[in-house]
This record gives sequence, structure tokens and C-alpha cells, in this order.
Amino acid sequence: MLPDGNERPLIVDVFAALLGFAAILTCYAGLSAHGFLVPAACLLLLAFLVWAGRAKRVLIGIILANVIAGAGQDLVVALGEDLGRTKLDIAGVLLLLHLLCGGPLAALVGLPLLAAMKWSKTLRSWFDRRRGAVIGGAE
Amino acid sequence: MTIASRTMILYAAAMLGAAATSADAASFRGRVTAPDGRPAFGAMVTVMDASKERRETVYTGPDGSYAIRTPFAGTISVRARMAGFDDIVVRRMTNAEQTADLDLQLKSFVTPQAASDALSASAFNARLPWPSPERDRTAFVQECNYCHQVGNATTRIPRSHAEWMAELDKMEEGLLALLSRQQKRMVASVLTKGFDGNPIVAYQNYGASVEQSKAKVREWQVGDGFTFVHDAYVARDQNVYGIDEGHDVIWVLDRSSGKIERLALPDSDLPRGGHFSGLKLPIGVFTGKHGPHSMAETSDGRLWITNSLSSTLMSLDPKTKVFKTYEVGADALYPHTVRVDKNDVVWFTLAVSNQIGSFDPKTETMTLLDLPANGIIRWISTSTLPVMMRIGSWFPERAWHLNISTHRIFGNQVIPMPYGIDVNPIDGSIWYAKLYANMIGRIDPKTLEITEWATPMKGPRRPRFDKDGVLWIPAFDEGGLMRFDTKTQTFETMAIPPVGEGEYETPYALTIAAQTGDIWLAANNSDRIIRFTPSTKEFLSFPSPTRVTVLRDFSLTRDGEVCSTSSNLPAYAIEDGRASFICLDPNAGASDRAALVK
Repeated sequence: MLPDGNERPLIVDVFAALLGFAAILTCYAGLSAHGFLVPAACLLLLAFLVWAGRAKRVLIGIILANVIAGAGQDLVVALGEDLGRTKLDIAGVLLLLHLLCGGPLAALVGLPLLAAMKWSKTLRSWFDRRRGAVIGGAE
Repeated sequence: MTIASRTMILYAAAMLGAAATSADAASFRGRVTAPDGRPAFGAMVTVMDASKERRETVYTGPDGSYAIRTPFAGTISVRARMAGFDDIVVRRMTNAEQTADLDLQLKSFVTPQAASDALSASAFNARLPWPSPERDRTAFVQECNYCHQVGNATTRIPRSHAEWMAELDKMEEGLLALLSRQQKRMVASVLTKGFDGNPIVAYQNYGASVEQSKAKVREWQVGDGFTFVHDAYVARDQNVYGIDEGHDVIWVLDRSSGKIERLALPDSDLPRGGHFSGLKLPIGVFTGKHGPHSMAETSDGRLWITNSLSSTLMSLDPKTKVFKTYEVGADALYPHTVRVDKNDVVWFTLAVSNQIGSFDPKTETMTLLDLPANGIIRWISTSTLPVMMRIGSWFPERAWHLNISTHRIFGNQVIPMPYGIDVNPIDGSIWYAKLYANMIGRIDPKTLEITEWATPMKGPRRPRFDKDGVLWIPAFDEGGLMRFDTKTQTFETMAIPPVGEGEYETPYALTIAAQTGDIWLAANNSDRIIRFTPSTKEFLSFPSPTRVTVLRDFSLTRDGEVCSTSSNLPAYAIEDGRASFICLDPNAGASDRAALVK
């Protein structure tokens, strides 16, 4: 039971736990390859945002940026032969952006999360409840 | 002083003068004995020219006898060397026309330290206290021994754990040694305990043989203490070409005159280190941008060079000395071994990007073939490595990009690493070895269909075909030799005998003598060249005259010499501080005996 009297939905617990687990795994990788601490921190932020039901737009923005950067990098590497050496510069920027936004595990958990936010009323209302409370408070 | 006494003194002086005169020669014959006077069978007698840049060596026979003809004149040195004894070195003024009788007696070591110092690296790294050699030593062999000896005088200096960690960081950030953090800690811990500076006791036996006494070894020093001559290649002009990966230079040795020519590769718009400029490549050793590595020749006489750092293929016309550069492709990394097929198509491995390249010089068409990834981690790593190297190049010589490299998590198995390559003389198919994935593969030259086989021994490095279409593969990680019958698709394995108890061998490359079918192998842990005779399955050792001999690819001359380069990384760790060309003639020692011993 939350202070506002609402129950945290199971789907929120599941996604927050998945993102938290992804953060731990990435952090473990980061102990050896320190660069992975950056996506680990991002995954932790995403887990917190889901768990707290806050900053929906930021959450969606990070996941979309992650997925677009990751997919874009793959496409540029696979199809960008005509770009010459610029190909690897573009792919490099996209790879760094992808990692900044949580890395491959963020995409793995983030895509189902985005789908759930689109189709699951429970998840949508979880993020909207604060907005509703604020709006309600103003009334 | 009486008249008799004066006469005796004058006679003695006359005899000494005569002896001195007879010693004024470039050819020598005599016997080498142990300190107790017994014949020293299998000792090396090395004659060095005045500059000590050229040296020729023969091995003694069962009675300790030797005979050697050299082209040297002036003040030269003659050295006898044999495992278990201290060297004896004498200097002589000579001219090229005379033969001197010179008996040499090996010395006993004065101190245990001196005896220890004369041992090869294999004696020292055999004593490293691995918790489980089978389990733990592999990463060390792969990531340390792959590039150089560890255990020689330069590398066995006692260091603290922190100092070894710093050394391993240097190897990773400079030379891309792919150790995980855990592997690094374990290797550092073992090296700290194992290399404590105390002398060790080891009995090493290089297996004296009559075959040795028929052979002769010639060495020509090249470059300086930072020169990194990778492969050697004997071209149609019978010159030996040494490909200097560190300095973007081709060294051309004329074996008959001993003259060495230096050909500089054309400049590139890439930074130092080429596509690997993000790494902290060792300053001094890697001053170039192309990183030439391997060489092959097409029927028109052009030489083809794989440039590992710039990812280019380069042709060299040995007559006009003109180079021409061909880009391999934006994300192709580390062109490695190169061979030419019977249609004059140039084939080469791309070690880091897991590809095979082919180039048709007639149409100037470059084709890249992606090889199977051999696992998801390897697929991820191989796909991202070119991008990662590019990111690294934005921050030159800082190695920051390694912070996102999967090798730091998973260790050295993150890339398959296609390495050696050869063409099957029977059907023209292309075969390659994958060093980390422990596989060999076949590419159908028409359909480009790929088939792979797991090798029974680890570390398949630079294989070659014999004339019957049998693939011979050195197994670096396990000190073995593998035979793969391409018709029956079956392997046979053979362990290379080490020179001492508990030691292991690191065979890098091999070549096969067309006339005899003998296989010549680089044995880089114990300073020797090995000959394997398939019909008798016998291994014979030919100890190298120079300590710290790390040989790369072998190439054969028309007159039967087996040539390579001694190019430990760095060259200044080699006994005399420089890299060299080295050629072994299996019969020239016998010719010298026949000419000098009546």
C-alpha cells in the first residue's frame, strides 16, 4: 500500500525489477569494463522512474533514443558501405548514445515496457496518477 | 740466458707466429670439448663478423668435430655454445682465404646464477606456479606468449603484483592483449610469485643429432632495438623480404652479399597506429601507420603485403620499387596472413573483423567474406569492434574505448580470430585457422561455401598444405602439431617434445620442404627450430645460436634454405638487442665439412 492509498501494480514491480536486475548485471560488467557503469546508472534511473511512476516522457525518450541509436548503429554498419570512413564515425556516435541510454539490456526490457505503456491501462494510469493527483489537488 | 734457452724462446715465438698465421682465416675446423675433455656433441660453433651483425653457425658431430666456411674477414669472433655449459669465445684476425684449426673447450658455469641465466624462457615459465596449469595457463599462453617470450632475461625481472598489473595494463592498452580483469589479476599473481629473481636449476636437452651436424644457420641483424620485422618472404629473386610491422618498412636481404636494403612504404593520411590509433601502441616500436605484416607473390612478380593497421593491401614491384595501395574496406580490421592461389587471386585473413578477403589483381576487385561468428558473444564483439576502434581513434593513444570492450568481461574468447591461411594445391580451396575459436575452415573458391571443423588441439595458428593436400597445423596453445587429411576429414595430433622437464612449446608457424616433405616449425619458447619428418614421425631440434629467438612465418629458398625472422617483441630483448633474418640450410654444414675436412 502506498501513502496515497494506491497499490503498486504487479506489472510495475515486474518492469522495475527487470530494469533493476539489468542495472545490476551491467554494473557487474562495469566492474571490469568501466564504461558499462554509464548504462548501468541509466538502467537504475529507468528502474526508479518505473517504480516511482515518474517522468513518463523522460522514460519514453530514453528508451526510444536507446532503441533508435542501437538499431541505427546496426543499420549503418550493415548497409553504410557507401559512407566510407564516415560510416564508422556515425556508428560510433550511435553506439555511444545507445550506451548512454542504457545499452542493449535497456532495449531488451524497454521495448516490452513501451508496448505495455501503450496497451496496458494499469501501467498508463500508474504514471498518470501523480498527474491526476496534482490536477485533483488543484481543484 | 744461454744460447739453448734463446733458441727455445725463438722456436716458441716462431711456433706462436705460425699458429697466429694459420689462425688468420675465415674458415675454421676443429673439435669442441666439454670441460672434462669429452667431445661435445651438438654444440654450436658460431662465427661472427667484425661488426657482429652477421653470424654463421654449425653444429658439432658425435666426436665434437666441426668445420665452417664463412665469407668474413678482419677481426672476427668464434663462439662455442651448448646447453648446460658456459660459452667459450675467442677472437681472431682473419682473411677470407685461409682455414684455421681451432679447438674449443666449453666452460663450466662459475655460479648458479650464470647457469640459470643461460637457460631459455621455457625453463623459467615452466616453473610458474599456476594453480592448475591446464585451466589457468591457457590465457597466459594466448595473451602473453602469442606476442613474445615471457621468461627471458628482460621479462623475468622480479616485479610486485602492482607492477605486473601495470605491465599487463600496458600490454592490453598497447597491444590489445585480451585478458579479463580476473585473468589479469591471476596472471599478475603467478608472475609475481614465479619470477622472484632467484636462479633456477634445469637440465635442458636439445637432442644432439647427426642431422644437426649437417646443417648450417646464417643470421643477419636488421634494424635496431625497436624494429619489429614480422614475416619473412623469399621472393622469386631469391631475396628475403622482412616486413617491419612497427616502422612501415620492407627490409630486403641479398643472402649472397649480405647487403640489406630498406624500402619505406608510402605515407598514409591515417594517424600513427592506423585504425588502431586509439591504442597506446608502444612508442618506439610502432612508429608507422600501415603496420605491414605478411607477404605473398603473384606470377607477374608483384609482391602483396597485408597492412594490418591501415587495413590495406599493398603491392610492391621489386624491380621498380613502386608500391600501390588498395583499401580493403571501412570496417575490415587487421589484414593478417596472405597467400596467392593458382589463378593469382590474393587471399588473406582479417584477424579482428573475422573475415576473409580476396583480391583479383587483374580486375582489381576486392571481395570480403564474413566468417561464422562461432557464438553470440563473439558475434557481438566482432560486429562492434570496428566501431569501437573508430571511437578509440577520436581519443588517440588513450585506450579509452577498451572500457566498453567485451574482452574485459569475458576474456580472450570474444573474437574467433582467423589467422593463418593457405591454398589446397589439390582443389584450389582456401583454408584458414581460427586461433581463438580453435577451428579450421574451408572456403570453396567457386561457391564461397564455408565449412568449419573444431581442432582437437587448441591454438591453430599458421597452417600450410603439403603437396598431397594434407593440412599441417601448429597448435600453439598445446605445443603440438596437427595433421588434417582433407580427403578423410580426420585429424592426427602429435606433441612436440620439450627440451626440459615440465616445459611446454609454442609452435607459431611452419613450412614444408617440397623435396623432402619435412616440416619446419618455429618453436618460440625454447629458442629452436624443429624439423618433423612425417614418414618417421620424428622431431629433431636445431637450437638457435641466439637466445630469445621468436620466429614468425617461414619461407623456403630455391636452394633449400629455411628462412624466417627472429623478431621477439621488443627486439631489444633478443640476446644481442636486434632482430635478424635467420636461414637454416639442412645440408650446408655437411658441405663445409666435405670442403674442409680431408
